[in-house]
Order: sequence, then structure tokens, then C-alpha cells
Amino acid sequence: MMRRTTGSTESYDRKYSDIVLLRRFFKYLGPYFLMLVGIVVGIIASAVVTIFPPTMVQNAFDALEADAAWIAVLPYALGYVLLSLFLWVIQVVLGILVTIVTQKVIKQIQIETYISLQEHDLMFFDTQSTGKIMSRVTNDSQELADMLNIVAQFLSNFMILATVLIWMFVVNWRLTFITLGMAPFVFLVAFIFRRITRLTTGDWRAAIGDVNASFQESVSGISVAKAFGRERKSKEEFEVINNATFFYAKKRAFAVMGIYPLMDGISVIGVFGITLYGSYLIFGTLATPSTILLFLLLLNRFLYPLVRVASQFSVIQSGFAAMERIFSIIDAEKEITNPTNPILKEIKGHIKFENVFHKYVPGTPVLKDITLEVKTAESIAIVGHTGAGKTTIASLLMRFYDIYKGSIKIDGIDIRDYDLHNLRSQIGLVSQDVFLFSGTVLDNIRYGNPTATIKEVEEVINIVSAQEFIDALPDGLETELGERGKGLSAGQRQMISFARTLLANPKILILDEATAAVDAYTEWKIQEALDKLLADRTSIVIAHRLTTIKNSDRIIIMDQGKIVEEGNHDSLMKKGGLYSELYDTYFKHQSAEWISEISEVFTD
Amino acid sequence: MGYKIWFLKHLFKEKLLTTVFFTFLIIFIGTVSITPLLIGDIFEELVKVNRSFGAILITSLYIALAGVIRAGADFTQSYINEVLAHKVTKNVTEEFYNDMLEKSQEFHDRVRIGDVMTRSTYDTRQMNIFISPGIKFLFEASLIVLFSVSLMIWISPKITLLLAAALPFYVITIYHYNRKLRPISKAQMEQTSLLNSRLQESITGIRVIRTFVKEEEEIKEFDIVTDKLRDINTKRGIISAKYYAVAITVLIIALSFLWGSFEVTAGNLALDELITYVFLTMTLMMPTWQLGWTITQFQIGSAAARRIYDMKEREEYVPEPTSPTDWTGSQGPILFDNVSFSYNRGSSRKKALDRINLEIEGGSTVAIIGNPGSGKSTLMKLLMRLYDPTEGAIHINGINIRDMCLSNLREHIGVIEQEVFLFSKSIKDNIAYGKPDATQEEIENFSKLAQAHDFIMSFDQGYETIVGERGVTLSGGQKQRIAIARALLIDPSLLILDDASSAIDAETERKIQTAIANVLKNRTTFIITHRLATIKNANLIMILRNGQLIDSGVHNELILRNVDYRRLFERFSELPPLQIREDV
Repeated sequence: MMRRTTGSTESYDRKYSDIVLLRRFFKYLGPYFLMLVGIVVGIIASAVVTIFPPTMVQNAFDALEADAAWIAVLPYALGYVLLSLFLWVIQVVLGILVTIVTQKVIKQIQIETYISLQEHDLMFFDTQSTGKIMSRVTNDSQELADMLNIVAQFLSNFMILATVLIWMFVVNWRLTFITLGMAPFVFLVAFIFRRITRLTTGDWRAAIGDVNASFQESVSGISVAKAFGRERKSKEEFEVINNATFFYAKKRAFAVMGIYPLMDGISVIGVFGITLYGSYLIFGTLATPSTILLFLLLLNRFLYPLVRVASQFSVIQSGFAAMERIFSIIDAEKEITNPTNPILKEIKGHIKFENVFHKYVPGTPVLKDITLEVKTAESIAIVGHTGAGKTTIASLLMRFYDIYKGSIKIDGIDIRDYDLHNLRSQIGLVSQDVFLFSGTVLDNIRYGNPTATIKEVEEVINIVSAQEFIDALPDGLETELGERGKGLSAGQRQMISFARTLLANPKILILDEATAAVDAYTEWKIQEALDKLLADRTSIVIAHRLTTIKNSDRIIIMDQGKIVEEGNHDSLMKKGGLYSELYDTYFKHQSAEWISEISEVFTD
Repeated sequence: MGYKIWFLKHLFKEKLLTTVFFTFLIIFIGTVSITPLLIGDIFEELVKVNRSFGAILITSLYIALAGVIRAGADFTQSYINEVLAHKVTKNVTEEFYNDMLEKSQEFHDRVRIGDVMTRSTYDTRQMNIFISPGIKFLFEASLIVLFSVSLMIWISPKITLLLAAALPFYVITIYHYNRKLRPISKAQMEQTSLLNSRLQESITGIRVIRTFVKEEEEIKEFDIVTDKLRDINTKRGIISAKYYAVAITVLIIALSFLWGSFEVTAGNLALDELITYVFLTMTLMMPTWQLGWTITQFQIGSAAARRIYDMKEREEYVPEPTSPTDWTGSQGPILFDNVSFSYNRGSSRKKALDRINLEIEGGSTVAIIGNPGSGKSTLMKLLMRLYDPTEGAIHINGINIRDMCLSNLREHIGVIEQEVFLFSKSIKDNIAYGKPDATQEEIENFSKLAQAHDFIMSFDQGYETIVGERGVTLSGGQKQRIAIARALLIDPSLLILDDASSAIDAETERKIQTAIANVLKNRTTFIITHRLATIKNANLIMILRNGQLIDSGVHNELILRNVDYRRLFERFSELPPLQIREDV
């Protein structure tokens, strides 16, 4: 089956054969086998029954024309009533069955996709946009499940079409040819219109996407727009984009609204043909008035299913494309998985990097031959320029990514041999980009340790000096945070994220510029409080401030993916290497001498 | 009630479209109802003993003619209706967008972006569908019923009584359906939005989930959300399927035929009249389905209109003065006169700012220090009138800022925020954001000043490089440098730097400071910072704690008299503790 993939293709997209797609789709349907049988039986029954009511009318007409008594007409009239009733009940039951199965399948697909997301490598999320992943879970699963409904309708229309056609042939083949003569036109028109609709719909959707993106960005950046007094200009720009949507909507409306009136026009030709040719046949006694009546009644039962079959055909195609998109995301390769015999143990905190090499993008290694040992309860600091590979060290220890050469061991065991969850749950990472969930401040702090008592929570809040600002929040700890902690300053978010990690009580603590946005004084207070807490834990501090670094047992200096120096502040300064250079540019301004030096620049 | 009037106003604003729509709608309906009469005529001729082919030919031609007119009218009215719907949607979206830009910062702080977006996308779409095909269906169906039923009464009032008998059944079904559908539709919408936000959070927060090993809990919670959504959707589907009960029209057709055939044998009705009658009852099939659909969509559409209207109608704007005083941008003193402020949300009414009193000389550099939550940023937001003080007033150059036009005030203030927001446009457009007609030369000059020119030129497309999700990702320091250029380009009289250099390394910062020292001269500058060098060199230092201004002055004064300030300085400059007498 040919198909047009809508939307852009992603690196994880792959092609499946139709057989594979169908087989997988049927697997989802498997548990509802009985209901499916019910649906098919219902469809066939209603298709067959469809032709009877018009026939009843036809027979009654014959009887009435022959001036028969009412008793002769009665069976037909009554049959008409009962058959209509039967059809009606079947429709209700079919509707219910299809809904139930569809909703169950959607749910199943959504949760499976979600589970696969939770297992995907971080590399996957690094390279994919959130919006696109979301659209696969929500829109594509919907489209896939809708296919069930479409297939049911397709089958139903097809069956009706077939039975009506057979019956017409049986009754009067001459008139059937007149009716059938319209079929190619109907089919062609429906097919072409559906195509145009799909093309124009694509343009229209893209335009809507632009409007939404523009709207979202304006609302996200509202404070900038206000600060620069740009409201009027923004409005003008939005109007242009919004008008474009209207333009495409009009184009699309032409195709969407054109199809049924056109079909109606064609059906009129049918009525014209049947009455005229039929009457002509009557004059030659090849037909009776009741035959014409029957054909007129059957005409719509023939044309509309035909239109639907033609247009549903292309919907089914897009269903296949949706299937492919969903299965691609579920099947995306995972590199980081649990070992076959995972080790579960409480770690002590001895870390060893042995000749570690790592790259994110093929060809550009970010870590080159890193060998580093951190003893249990030792505190080390890592410094270096942006892009030196400091954060990568933290990510690798968490096993967010796997290295391609060398080994990373904790307590002498390769981290790839640990149970993934066991490993991560004992390492605390406070990263520079803070992500908070919507919910209260308390929920966020308790995220890693939901059973913590309020007293424990307050303890960590005190350690990170967050008490004061949390008290100042409208509802204190119970204050609801907006998306990603909207309403808090960067420093406040960092403090909450810090508290969250401390509450989880990890054995190894990694602070990746954890307090970069906190003011110096508060940072100092945090530092004081941390000293106690860090005493019996291994800690790795990636920092840009002097105080934190000076307190470490050891300072590691990285440059371009390599460890270039190692030692304490004094020895490193004496050495006169990269550290002393960094010290002069990055850290010196935090010390006294530098202040008097720079003050000359300002006091002119 | 307000939202209905608002919606109708939008609808009737498009006079031409609505007029054309209704005209063709009536033509369409007339031709729909006339066809059964013509079919009846044909059968009248056919059952005659001496039937005439000529008469049949003419009637058939009439049927064809009516059909062509019907198809044309149907297309025109459907098309116009669709255009009308999109026009109204476009206008509503635009009105909503413009209003969102006008809304106060406080409003935006509180409202979720997702919520605004749902209204601007989903809700406008629902309104769109309600108009097309909703309104078309509504009038089409009602008028067809009216025309056809009138004709039916004309042919046989007795049989038409059957319809009257079925009427209560329709009314009850529709009423029940309506009542059940309303809550379920609301629940469905809420649950869908919950699913979306959960999904979004677990994608954007995936690192945190991994770090805290919460995958299983997240899956469990998502399972609950999807389960609930499935149940709601199923329930809704079943309600809709049951609504098919109104298709009992089929039964009415059948019963009419049953009775009609009796009337024919009794000689009360001609056979051709019965045929016409049956074809007329068939025209009622579509309208019953359409009406049911329209009722559902009416529920959804009016709820959607209401949500848009309600958000729009919230009177949360920063009030503009009736007779504004103009600030030319000339330098002058800035006076905080007993300024208090509390955020109007949450349960506690704790003051974010508490009676701030201070006069600042025009052209001076003011450093504001204080711990997180002390009110530093809030004070700056008041200065820009993103909020208004709950008590007291701020005067610039002797003018109360409430008496200035918002645009007048803000065009003279440049801001560099802590977290820089850049638009998904080119770097050039971002820098020229506040001054769209800036020349390339100006843009480059200010970029050089902000130490941004070199890294910008390192991109293949230079100033035309697109930033954001669809373009290059900039580091925090790069973003801040662009923000500095952006703020300086508008030549502000007053500059606010909210921790503007926290992501820039010291070397670059020093370059920037040296470069912009001249630009800053003679401009009042507020700097929220924790860089000691900057603090020390400020003309005035404000120390905030818990919303109160606990001290202000220059470095040399504060270091002697303020213990907190001294401590702060000692910690970081690692100065030997100063020897000060207790009585100083």
C-alpha cells in the first residue's frame, strides 16, 4: 500500500512492511476478539438487511397499485417497520462496541509508548523536540485507534455497496447499468477531492502551527515584550500570521465543502437517468413503476457508501503512517539497559574512572583518557573552561550515557554491572539546569523521598538556607509552583533543587554548579551547613567560585576533555599552570586584591 | 450571559457573509423539499393507464434542474459558512492575543501558559466547528423539518400526527443527552489537558526522573491518568451511541408507510401522494442526526467561547492614566516614596516590599543586594510598572510613574533580565527587538560593546542566525550578551541589570564593563548583583531583607556601620576582619 508520511521524519523513524504493521495492530486487538467478532457480524447483518426495507416498499407499491386489500399490503408494511427497528438496534450496539474497543486500544498504545519513553536513552531526548514526541503519544495514538472506527465503517460501507449492487442486478440489470454508470465518476471525484483536502489541510495545519508557536512565544516572553514596549509591533506580526491561516482555511474549505454538493449533483443525474430510462422501459414493459421506486430508494444506499469507501481509503493510509510513527518511537534503540545479572548493593562511595573515553557525536570525543580516583568520603572539585567535559563526568557517573572505552567503577564494580535504578538512587545530582515539577514546593522537595517527614524537610531547607524565601511565598511550603517553577527566581529554584537532592540522602553527591545563581552570601551559608553533611559522603563539586573550591580535599583541572592538573590550591598556584591562569580570570575577582584593581576602571 | 452576546457580536460583524449564507441556505432547503413532490408527480403519471412519456420527461427535467440548483446552493452556503467560521475564529484569536499582551504581569505570573494556549488553540477550534458546520446544520435541519413537515401536513394531516406522537420522545432524548453530555465533556477536556501536561513534564524533566529513579511511579501515575481518560471517553462514546436512539425517525418513516398504505386502500390517499409522503419523511433523517450533532457541539462550543471570554474579561490590566504626563527621558532623581507591595495571591498577604523610602540621584549607579526572596527583583518590576505598588508611589524626575503612559515609561527603561528570553528569530531581530528600524551598523556597534560581535560572527549565518528550538542553542553567557546589546540599543535613560552577568565569565564581564562604562555614564543604572567589585564601585548600595530596606549608602559608609554588609564582604574578599570600635 502506498502511503504519504505526514510530518517530518526523525532519526529513529523506520520503515515497517504492511504485514508487520497489521500483525502488531492485531496484537492490540487480540484481547477483544469476541467484541470484534460481534462488530463484524453486526456489520454484515446490517448490510444485508439494508436492502430489505426498500424491497418491502416496492412490494407494497405493487399490491397497492393492483388495488389489493390492506391485509395484502400489511405484511410488507409491517416487515418494513420491524426491519427498520432491527437496523436501528444494531447501529446502537455497534457504536458502543466500537467505542469500547477503540478506547481500550488507545490507552494500551499510550501507556506502552510512555513506558518506552521512560526507558529511552537520554541521548534520545537530547536530540528530539518535546512537541514532536508529545504529538506521537497523543495525536498518533488517537489516529491509530480511530482507524479501527474507520475500518469498521469501511467494511460496513463496502458490504452495503456489495449487497445493494447484487440486489439491483437481480431486480433489473438494465437500470443497474444506469446506476453503475455513475460509479466511476463518484469514485474519482471522491478520491480527487480527498487528495486535495489532504494537501490543503497540510498547509492549513502548518499555518495553525505557526500561529500557535507565535502565540506561545509571545506569552512566554511577555515580560520582555512589556519591558520593550513592543506590544503593538507584536500584534501587527501576529495579525500577518493569523491572516495566513485564514487564507489556507479558505482554500481548504473549497475542497472540503465541495465534495458532498458535487455528489448530490451526481446523484441528481442518477435520479434523472433512472426515472427517464425506467419510464422508457415501462413503455416497453421491461420494468414496472415499482422497480423505479425501488431504484430511487436504493440510489442513496449505493452512492453514499461509494463516496465513503473512496475517501476512507486514504484515511486508512494515514492510519498506517501513524502506526509506523508510533511503533518507531516504541522500538527506538536503547543503549543503556539493565545488565542481565544486575548487582544490587549499598555503595560506600569509592569512585574510579579508568582510561575513560566518551563522545556524544561520532568523531568528536568529549572525554579523552580520563583516569581519576575519588576515595570514599573524599570531596573533590573539578574546574575548567566551558566545554572542558566537567558536566560529562557527572552524567557518566549517573550512567545517563555509556562510555565507549575504559571503565567507571564504584566500590570496584563497573557501573554497567549495577542495577541501573540501584545505582542512580544512591547518587545525588544537583545540576545547573533546574527542573521543577508543577505541584507544591513541598511536593518538589519530597520528590525523591515522598515519605520524608516535615521535620526532615525543614532540616534540608535550613541547610540550603531556603527557609526565609519559602516563608515569604504566598502559601509557604504549600505554594503551588507553575510550569517549571515559574514565579521563582533562578536562585530560588536552585535552592529547592538542592534541598530535593539532600532529602534523598545519597551516598555520592555531585554538585554541578549547584549554586551558580544563588548570591554569594547565601552560598557561603550553604557551604558552611554542607560541611557537616558531606563529612561521610563522597562528593564531586563542579564550581566556579573560589570558596567552594578551596574547601575541597583536591582540585582537578580539566581542559578539552583531559585532566591536566591535580592538587590543592597552594600547590597548584605554585605550579603556575592552567589553574593559576583560571584563577586569574575566573576566580580572582572574588578576592580582595582584584577588587581594588578593577575599581580604577570604574572610578574615572 | 456576557459570552453569548460577545459571540453573537463576532458572528454578526460579518454581515456580508451571514447574508449570503442565509440566502443560499433558503434556496437549498426549498430545492430539497421540492424534489419529493416532483417524484410524486412522476409516479402519478406512471400509474395512469394512458401515461405520457413527454410529461415524465418534463418532470424529470425539473428534478434535474432542482438538483443542480440544490447542489450549487448547497456548495455556496457550506463554503460561505466555513469561511465565516474561520473569519470569526481569526478575529477571536486576534482579539484574544491582543488582550493577552495587554494583561498585567501579575496575570501572566499566575496563569499557566498551557492554559492560555488551550484556549487560543483548542477552544477557538471548537468555536470554529460550532459555527461550521454547527450553525449550518442547525438552520438546515430546522428549516428542512419545517418545510417537509408543512408539506406532510398538507398531504395528510392525520399521518403527520405520528410525528407529533414521536415529538415527546425526541425532546426527552435530546434533553437527557444534553444533560449527561455536559459534565462528561468537561471531564474529558480536563483529563486530556492533565494527560498532556503530565506527558510534557515527564519529557522535559526526564533527567530529574532518572536521577531520582522515579520511572515506575511516573508510569503508574500515567497509567491512572490514561485509565481515567479511557473511562471518560468510553462513557462519552456510549452516550453518543445511545443518542442514535433519535434515529427512531426510521421507525416513523416505517410507521407512516404502514398507516399510509392503509389510507390508500381505504381510498383516502392517492398512491402517488403516499410516495411523496415517504420521500418527505426520508428528508427528515439527516436533520435528526444533524440536530443531535449540533447539540453536542453547541455544548462544547459554548463552553469554549465562555472560557475564552472569561479569561479575556478578567480586568487585570495596569491602568493607564487619563491625562498622562510625558517623560522626555531626561535624567532626574528617582524617589521611592513609602513603597509597599504584596502579591495578590496565595493565603498569606505577606508584604514583598515594606515601606521603601529612598531618593536616588539621577545618573547614579545603584547596586541592590539581598538574599533570595528579599524583594530585589520585585522592586525593579515596580519601577517598570509591571506591577503597581499597593501603597506609596515611585516618582521619576518628579513625575509619579502612574501618571505616565506605560509605553512612555517603558521606552526609556532598558532591562537585562536574569534569565534571558530570546525569541525564535534571527540574532539581528532579537537585538533590534526594541528598535525594529535599527541599522545594521547600530546593531553591530552595540553587539561589539556587549562583547557579542565575535561569537555572532563565528556562526555561519552571522547576525541572521536563528536562535531557539529551530536554530542554534546559545549558552547562558551568549544569551546575556545579546540581551545587553538589545537593552542598550534602545538608548535607555534608565537601565536595570538583574544579575545580568551571572553566566558570563569574569574576563568577558570585565571587558563588557570596561566597554559599557561610557555608555552607562550619566544614566541611572540599577544593578542586582552579588559581584563584589560591582557593589563596591556603586554610587549607592541598597541592602534589602524581607522586603525592607535595611540600609543604604556607599561602600565606605556601609562597611563601617553595617555588620551584615561587612560580614558579606569579609567572607568573599577574605579581608582580615576590620577593627572597628563598637560605638561606631
